[in-house]
Amino acid sequence: MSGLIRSRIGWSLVGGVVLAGLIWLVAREWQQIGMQVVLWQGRLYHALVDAVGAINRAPGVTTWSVLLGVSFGYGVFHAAGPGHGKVVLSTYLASQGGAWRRALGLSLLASLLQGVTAILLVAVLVFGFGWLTREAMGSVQHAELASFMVVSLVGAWLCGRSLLRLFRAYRHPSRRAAASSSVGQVTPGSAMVAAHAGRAAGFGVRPEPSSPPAAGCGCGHDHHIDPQTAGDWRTALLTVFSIGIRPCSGGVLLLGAAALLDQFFKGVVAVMAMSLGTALTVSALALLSVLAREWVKRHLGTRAAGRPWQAWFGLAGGALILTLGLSLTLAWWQRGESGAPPLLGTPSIQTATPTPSPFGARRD
Amino acid sequence: MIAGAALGLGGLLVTTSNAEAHPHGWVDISVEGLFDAQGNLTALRQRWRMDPFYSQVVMEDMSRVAGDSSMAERLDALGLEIRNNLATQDNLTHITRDGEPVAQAAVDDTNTEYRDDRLIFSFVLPLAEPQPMAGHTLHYRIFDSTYYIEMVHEANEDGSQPLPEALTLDDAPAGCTTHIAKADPDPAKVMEAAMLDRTEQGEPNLGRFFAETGAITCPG
Repeated sequence: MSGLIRSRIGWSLVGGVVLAGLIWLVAREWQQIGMQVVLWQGRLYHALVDAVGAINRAPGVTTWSVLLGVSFGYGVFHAAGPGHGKVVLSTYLASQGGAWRRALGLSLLASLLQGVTAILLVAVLVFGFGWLTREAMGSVQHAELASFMVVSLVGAWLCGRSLLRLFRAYRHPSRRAAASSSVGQVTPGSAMVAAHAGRAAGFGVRPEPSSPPAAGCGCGHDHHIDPQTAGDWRTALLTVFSIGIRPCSGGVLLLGAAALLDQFFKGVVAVMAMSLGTALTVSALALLSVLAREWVKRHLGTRAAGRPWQAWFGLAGGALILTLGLSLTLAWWQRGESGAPPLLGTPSIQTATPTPSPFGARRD
Repeated sequence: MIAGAALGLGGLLVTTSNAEAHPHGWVDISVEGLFDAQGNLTALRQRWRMDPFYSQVVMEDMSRVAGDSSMAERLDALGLEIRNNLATQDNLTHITRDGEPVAQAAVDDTNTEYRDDRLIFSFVLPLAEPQPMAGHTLHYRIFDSTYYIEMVHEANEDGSQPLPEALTLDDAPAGCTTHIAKADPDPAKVMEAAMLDRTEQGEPNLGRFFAETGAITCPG
């Protein structure tokens, strides 16, 4: 047993050092990294268009591999830029808690959902309703607004839940421990083991609280800040939904162009490969959030046993997500409907004269 | 504390979130400097080759235009529309001679065609005043300030080197030379712009940092 604990401490140290090294590197080189990412994004877009052209001319193992590889890479670097989805997910995970498997699961789900949304958007609007690809691209801005609003909803929900927990914890001091952590009352050694059990439990089972469940009966399960409860799954899925309903306009463009070349299926495969690439980057960030939280938990674990710090943390995270959602929604309204991709202009009703205005209707 | 830092980082990202600060399309450009008999530079003839995806999407639009106009007529109408849009933004072209801004006149001679899966828009951008070039250097940069579209000179296969044909001269005095300089952006400035513009203007103006510079120099 002590061997297990020692090895866990060893691994935690290694993890901490690696994490600190990464943070130091990013802090020192972030400008260079940021610019390189922008440059690579541009190159990968070129490569992606070339790959679609190549597979159109000569479908084969080589062109397929290139298309899948480039799409995956595009997804990785596309996600490496700033984006509200990643902020929402990492803040959610850092403040609300969750095992690493859960972090991976949510990242994967959110990324795949983004790809599926883009595919459905083109399938329904272009094939179903006969919209122009340009118009379908313009509709991304509405999906964007919906996404911002759901983000606000997630934030408000998390705030409300945390406030409720704080209220209960302070009203019934005996339950503080429960609101603090399910492992708060036990010795440091077993706390670590229990935390390990919680992580290993991953998606499903939640670790048994050390106090008998009966103590909390009558007011539901809400007072456990336990990431594995059903209510928490609803917020988790809502978080995934808030991120996933906003497709990337690049993905929509790829699908639309592929469809025009009678290669819609290839576009679908490319977009899903792109989503997997996005998932890779997003999960890395999500894992970082979980690690950060675990670190804090270990350091506060014994000292803050009697304080509901997790609920405070949850409140802070919820507030941040709510602020983000509201400010993005507000910015969207201020910007107005002209937020269509500037290249293609705003979707307009077809008239007798050609209406498309490439380079027109910019967002400035 | 690290979690706090993670949240802080989140806040940092918020300032740049929602920006699609990288190209979602590109244009391959080539430029020809036109000289008059006195050796003055009078205009920049430009040819913009839209990327294949964008070309596809525009051609879809063209094919669905109501009425019985021919495709050539539709493309002509499209060209006029592009010209009018570009006029409001100095045709995305920024010209200086010896560091001083050079004014532009109205674009004329537009032509729009679809060839080899690419939509090609050509036009002549006259300078407001013919520019004496003997002993002078004229620089131009062509970019979409939002960087939604990347504007690059026609380049070799892997895009690493601009082709000599991307900048040529017509009727130039003997000894005039051309050069295309690749962009060499300062990472600190790029990131600073990404942050500042996001919060203060709501639009990241990264295009200028990634713009190539064309130069025309004539001996004195």
